[in-house]
Amino acid sequence: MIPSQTGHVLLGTAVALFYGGAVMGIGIPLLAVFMGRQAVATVRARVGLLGLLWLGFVIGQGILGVLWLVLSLGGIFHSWVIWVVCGLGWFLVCAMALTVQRQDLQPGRECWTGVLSFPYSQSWYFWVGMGIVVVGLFHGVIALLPPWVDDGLVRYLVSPRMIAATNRLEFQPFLHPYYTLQPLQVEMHWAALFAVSNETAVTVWDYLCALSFLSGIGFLAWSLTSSRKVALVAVLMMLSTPAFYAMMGGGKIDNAAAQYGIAAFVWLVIWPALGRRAVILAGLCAGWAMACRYTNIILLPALIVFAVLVARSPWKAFPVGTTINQLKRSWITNAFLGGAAAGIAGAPMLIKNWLLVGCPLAPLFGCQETFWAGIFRNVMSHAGNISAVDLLFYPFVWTFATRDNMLGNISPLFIGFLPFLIVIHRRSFMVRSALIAGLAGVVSVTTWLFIEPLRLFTRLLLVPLGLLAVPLSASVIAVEQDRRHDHRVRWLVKAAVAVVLVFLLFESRGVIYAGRYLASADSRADWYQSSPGYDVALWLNAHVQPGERVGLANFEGHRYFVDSHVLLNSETAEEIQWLWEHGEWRHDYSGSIAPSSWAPDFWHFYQSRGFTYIVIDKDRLQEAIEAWPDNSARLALEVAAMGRRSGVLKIHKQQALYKAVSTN
Amino acid sequence: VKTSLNGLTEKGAHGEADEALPPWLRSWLVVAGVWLQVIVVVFIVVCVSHVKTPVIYWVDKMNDLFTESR
Repeated sequence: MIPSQTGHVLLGTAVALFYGGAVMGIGIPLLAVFMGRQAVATVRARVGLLGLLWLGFVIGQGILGVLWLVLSLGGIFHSWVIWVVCGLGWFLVCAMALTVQRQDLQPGRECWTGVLSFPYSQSWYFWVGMGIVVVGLFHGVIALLPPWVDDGLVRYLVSPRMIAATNRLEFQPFLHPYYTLQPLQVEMHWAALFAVSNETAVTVWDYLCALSFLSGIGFLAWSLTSSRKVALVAVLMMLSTPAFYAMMGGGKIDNAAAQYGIAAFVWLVIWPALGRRAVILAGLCAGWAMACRYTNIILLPALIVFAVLVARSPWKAFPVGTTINQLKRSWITNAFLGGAAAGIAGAPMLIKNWLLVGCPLAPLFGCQETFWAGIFRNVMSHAGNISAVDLLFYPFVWTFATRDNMLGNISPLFIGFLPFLIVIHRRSFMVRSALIAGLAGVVSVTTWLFIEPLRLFTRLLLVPLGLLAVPLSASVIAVEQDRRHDHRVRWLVKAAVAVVLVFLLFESRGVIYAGRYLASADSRADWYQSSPGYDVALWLNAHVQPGERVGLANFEGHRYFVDSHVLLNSETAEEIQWLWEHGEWRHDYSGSIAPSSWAPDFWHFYQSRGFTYIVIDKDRLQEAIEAWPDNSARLALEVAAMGRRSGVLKIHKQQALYKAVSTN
Repeated sequence: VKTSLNGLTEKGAHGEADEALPPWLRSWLVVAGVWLQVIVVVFIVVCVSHVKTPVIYWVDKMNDLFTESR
């Protein structure tokens, strides 16, 4: 007999894999229809069969994300609709498998033969590849654990879970500080998976998206340099970035969002061969990247620089090329098409905000008198996490220091490989080709420094890091392959890469906990027991009856632990607006909004609105109880539950039985 | 044969070998290799033990100094 927790995890994993197949099944035919058979062959020649499948996977995600958004705004985001779409995706997969011709399979066979012959080549890079595969698999097992990143538990996972629970995307007043007004391209897939399965499906899907991002870096490196070794080392550079591997399956949107950004660059590499269709697809991917995170706007200048350099490169290599002359003539048309495609991909998120609150650019611009805009401003004003001194030592701080909310450093290979690039960049054809990606990465990071110089969050800069990894890995491979160089250099590079791989294996020790969780040796409660608000949330989930209202504005815990029926019966937007206007409110990272001082007016407010339970920070419980108004003739207050950080007060509809309760 | 953006193939660029480095620059590659080793080892030590590297120690010192002066 399989324990229920094990069954739950296995089911979620199976659903995530099924969903991934359906996404690819929808993406590839759409791509083929849009581009035509000849263009598909061109793409396959540039990035290989696996690259084509990967591009189909990313395009499928983009299309389905928009579809889920439309369905959820219409209130028809039902699980059966998602199953039907997934079924359609698998039907298309089967249809493709049946219609594929013998010659279509040849490149795949060659690719597979190449992979299988790798062990016999006695190449050191085979072992590097194997190390990457093992570390990747370990992180796949770790993704079976319940989500662990605080940001996800506070907001990113809550929003899709509620969309799935209500079959509808609405303004969510309980969700500080975004209230579903942030771009939701990634979360819509999570909502679909919550609707048809459970949280394991979401975390495994997040892991698959992270793998997809890694693959994208590999394909980009390969398409620029034609070297599998460069692709392998570039992938290793990203995989050894703590801010990346710590989020694989963790419940943060950034790894999934980065796929679209890298895909946009890969489409631009294919641009000279494919023409306008590649520009449109690059624009769509750029738009979806911004529909995941507005901060991905930093990719736009990088994409422009990259496009210019890509257009220039073949011209220099093949001066006679008429295609490039045509490209030059149609430069404005291409820019317009790319921009329009990005706008079309990004616009649904603005329309969503317009439908929800009437302000498309909320919470950043518009509707500034509302409580949510005020709270958002408050959050953003405290978002800086580095100083001007840190800025001067940016690469070192990024690699070695710990700063608030940074959520991980970058791989040591970035600054470790830099001297090789400086020495060799002018003398290697491969490095010169790869430098295009590096320059785009530098432009992207520089844009970020212009916008937010004192905010260093690695997760927001994953795409630029992926771009920077390409020339850095190319320079090391160029040095390592050149037999004219001192053999000590080769050994030093190999030893460093080996040490990094061993360290990555050590960092994957969470696989032990994942194994225990999968075997049901550890429970969900064991995993979350020390998390903020878990105890109080469990109590509320068990005790709140249908129709009973719960005041959660002061709750200093993760909303993810609170059941949907409790969240839906918490303060409405209009009530939080009242609270915002009638008190001096303090902001806390956890998402609570607590009054600077409790006054009887707040109790009158909660009484008149029919609240039964009020969750209050434990330190302020006594103050709140003492503010209970004396004239509450038919109502009484009692401490219903006490958690580690918060307490739950219950308003009884009985004779006044008030007595002060010690909180100690 | 797969060809990259600049006409590179797995066999090299247009059949040409990369330009040779001058001897003095070659010795710098050994320095670069040592630098790489040091960075990787220091990174792992920092991750495992949570100690500060000298650079970060002085950066934090300066940060404290500026905070106090404000």
